[in-house]
Amino acid sequence: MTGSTWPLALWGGWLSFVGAAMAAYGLAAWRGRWPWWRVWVFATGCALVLLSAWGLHNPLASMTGYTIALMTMGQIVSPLILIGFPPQVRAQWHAPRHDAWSVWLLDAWVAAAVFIILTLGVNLPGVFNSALSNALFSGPIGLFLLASGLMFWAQLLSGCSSLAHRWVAGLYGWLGSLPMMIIASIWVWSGHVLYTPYLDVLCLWNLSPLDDQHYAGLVMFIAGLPLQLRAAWLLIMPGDEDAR
Amino acid sequence: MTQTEVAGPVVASPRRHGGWKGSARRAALASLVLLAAVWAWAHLQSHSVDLHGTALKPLPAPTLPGLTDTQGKAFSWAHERGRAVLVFFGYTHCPDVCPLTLAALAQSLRQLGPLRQRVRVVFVTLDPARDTAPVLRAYLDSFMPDIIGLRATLPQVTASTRQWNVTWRRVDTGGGQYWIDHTAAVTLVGPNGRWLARYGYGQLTNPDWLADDLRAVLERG
Repeated sequence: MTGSTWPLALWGGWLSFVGAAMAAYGLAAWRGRWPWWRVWVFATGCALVLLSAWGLHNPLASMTGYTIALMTMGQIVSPLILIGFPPQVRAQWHAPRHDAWSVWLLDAWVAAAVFIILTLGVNLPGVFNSALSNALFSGPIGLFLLASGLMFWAQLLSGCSSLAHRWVAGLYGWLGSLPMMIIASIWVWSGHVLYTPYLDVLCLWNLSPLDDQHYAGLVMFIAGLPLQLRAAWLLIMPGDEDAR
Repeated sequence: MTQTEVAGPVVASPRRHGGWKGSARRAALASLVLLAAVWAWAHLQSHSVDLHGTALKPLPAPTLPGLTDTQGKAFSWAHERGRAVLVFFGYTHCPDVCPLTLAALAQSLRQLGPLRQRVRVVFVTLDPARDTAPVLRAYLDSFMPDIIGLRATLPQVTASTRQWNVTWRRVDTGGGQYWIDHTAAVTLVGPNGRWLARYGYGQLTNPDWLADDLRAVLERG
């Protein structure tokens, strides 16, 4: 039979992943005497990763819940995690000793390709439905969206960005957000249920599958707003206070 | 302009490895790998499962109190012991999911040969006002003449839908017309009268899947 929720080992892995990230960050923050507010921002991001497990562990329970979890991972947790690091530290990621990974993960072109392909890819019925038919797939999808979100958001924040011009970064962010907005529009305005496994389940909050899909689209719209606002900020504002 | 313009003060300037051509090459490679991964992922769904439907806890199938067939007889699970029963809630004015589902069931059942006699389809109408017994019978006969069509008063149907985890609501479309938004799932009840699995329309698109499941259920039990 297909699994509709996570086994205990996956819960353990999820908690271990967050715990290890917090421990590594805590050590670095303590050594570098990073500002407390950044530690709180990072901790909030980690807490949201844990909360996202609620929506990810049983994706068939609610498309809205599942979308909240995926969007939280990709669009809320990502900037929080990055802002948790001081810009001077983020800038050091471009140092030669980090070339092995930074040349890929902090490259604006690679980040855009990964972000756009994953945004579109995970929402293809063939991929989305696989997460619905077996909840074991939903955890990795959440982590992939977190990774792609980190890569993309890194281009919009000081220190880690590879983009030379502020307006380019703004345009980059705005263009990168478009696929997400297009998917959100399709979900909100479609008159058909696009992911058939939802047709045979009782959705949370007693929503019909079509209503559930509409709310999921709305969630995606809202979750995309920080990225769009950030892009607009970079496009039209002369300075930036974020990363100081 | 420098990189500092992106977002305030920074301390290092990123070096471009191979310039924009290097970036483009890396992006192209990453895209290829990701597209291949997405394609593989989409085809990764395991079919090595006992049944193709979504598993249900093997609880006794809820009785359908107050529901009568198109000849006015009360429905009883006792009469269906030894048969696999497919239960579906729908309505005859349904424009898409109900006829498609019934057609898919008919297609699967045609593959069963002699085992077909041990399978029953039960259709419960969510629209007793319009689905009178003759209307319901005529509608079901157009798919399979041996489908049991059940109807009752609206409160009785509502009570049954709760027991069967079926959600539905009436959507008025004006001019006294309406349609019903409802869970479009077929529930498989085993020969022992217990729930086995549910099938959304997506799980019925390949007629072999349900036919295989029914064979497996009937041959082992």
